[in-house]
Amino acid sequence: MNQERHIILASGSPRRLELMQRIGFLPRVVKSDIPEARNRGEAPQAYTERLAFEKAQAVLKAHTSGSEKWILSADTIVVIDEDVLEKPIDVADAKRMLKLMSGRTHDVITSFCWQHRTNGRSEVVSVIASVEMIPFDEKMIDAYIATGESMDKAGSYGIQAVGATLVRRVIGSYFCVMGLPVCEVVESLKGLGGLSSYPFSTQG
Amino acid sequence: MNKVLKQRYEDIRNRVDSLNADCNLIVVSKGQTIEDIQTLYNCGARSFGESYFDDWEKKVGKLPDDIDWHFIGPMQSRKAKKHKSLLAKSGLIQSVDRSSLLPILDTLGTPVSNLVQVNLWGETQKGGKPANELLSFLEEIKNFENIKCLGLMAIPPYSDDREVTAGHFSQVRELYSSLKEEYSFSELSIGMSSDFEDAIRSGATMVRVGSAIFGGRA
Repeated sequence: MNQERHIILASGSPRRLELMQRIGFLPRVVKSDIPEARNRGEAPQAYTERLAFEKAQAVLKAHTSGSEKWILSADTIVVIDEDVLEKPIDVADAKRMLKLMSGRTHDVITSFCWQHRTNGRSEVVSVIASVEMIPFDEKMIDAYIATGESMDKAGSYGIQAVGATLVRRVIGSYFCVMGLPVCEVVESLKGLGGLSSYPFSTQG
Repeated sequence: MNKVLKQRYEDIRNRVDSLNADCNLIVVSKGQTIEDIQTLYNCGARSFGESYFDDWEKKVGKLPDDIDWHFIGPMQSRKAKKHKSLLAKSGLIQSVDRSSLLPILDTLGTPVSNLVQVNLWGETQKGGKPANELLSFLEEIKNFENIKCLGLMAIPPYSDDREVTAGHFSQVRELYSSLKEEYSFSELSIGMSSDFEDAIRSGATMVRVGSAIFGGRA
């Protein structure tokens, strides 16, 4: 068994876990409780980078058990007209976001952080994608929110299920929109020296 | 795809020209591919707007030197400091809204033009100087000899009601006109894909159009 497959995933997102599993990692999920609050005047990308870094640091400090060498954390937001859309606080908030995005293009920023648990190595990387949405009316917004997909997702939609039908086109990384740009995630870990051989030979 | 892109660009260009042939059309190219930007360049587009340093950096060396790059996104001083050589290539930095940027922009090794981004609607989640802090900021900019402020930029709250949007544009326009003479302003950057024509009617000298050219709302 390749020890490099074992990592700590500092994220409660089931999509990030699934993505990492799909590409051969065996993550152990350890959630952090970093408050997600943007500082006044903080640029969107600076915000996601700070959160990704802080989440990894929190898990680094909290957990000493386990033999995993690396911690991976991430944060995703939607940006439209400089307005940052995070997870909706309630149905009305989800409605507001979807209305804002209807028929227009927004950016999705996902920043992730690799943090080594003992040698101090770390890297924060951001990936940005543009997403074109079809126009949708209030009825469609209500029906979409009723699917339950909105509530735990930045921008109130998920591209991997029914939300896919709201999206005309993604320019850039699809996986960034899903919440974890796996290509860059692996590239970064390789660069940090955390992967001696990849894809893992034990995979399959 | 290229043909559609070309058609869309020419359509927007014509719509801009028919209202004000002097209005500068800034193609918002953030997130777009080098191939698509090159296609638009070949159609005659020269001014492109970028919002993210990393994304911008990847494109600059691979596209013609005479592109007039505008920085139009939220800018934090930490990132700006890291990307000074890139900023030195910018024809206009549209989104200046904080004092901490000024010493950085003053020392790019080349004089730089900027706009001050204003935020007249109390949307604290977005960038931009509120009206009551604008004058002192404009005075502060005067202290930096390599920074030339050409005017104002704004991103008003989004509304699908054209009258509401036009009202927002008038507000910025009035503010701009009241300062134009004293500060020798020449540029007012308002209006995007969904409302650039109303912005030009309100006096925009430049509009920033992305999705109406690359896709999305056509």
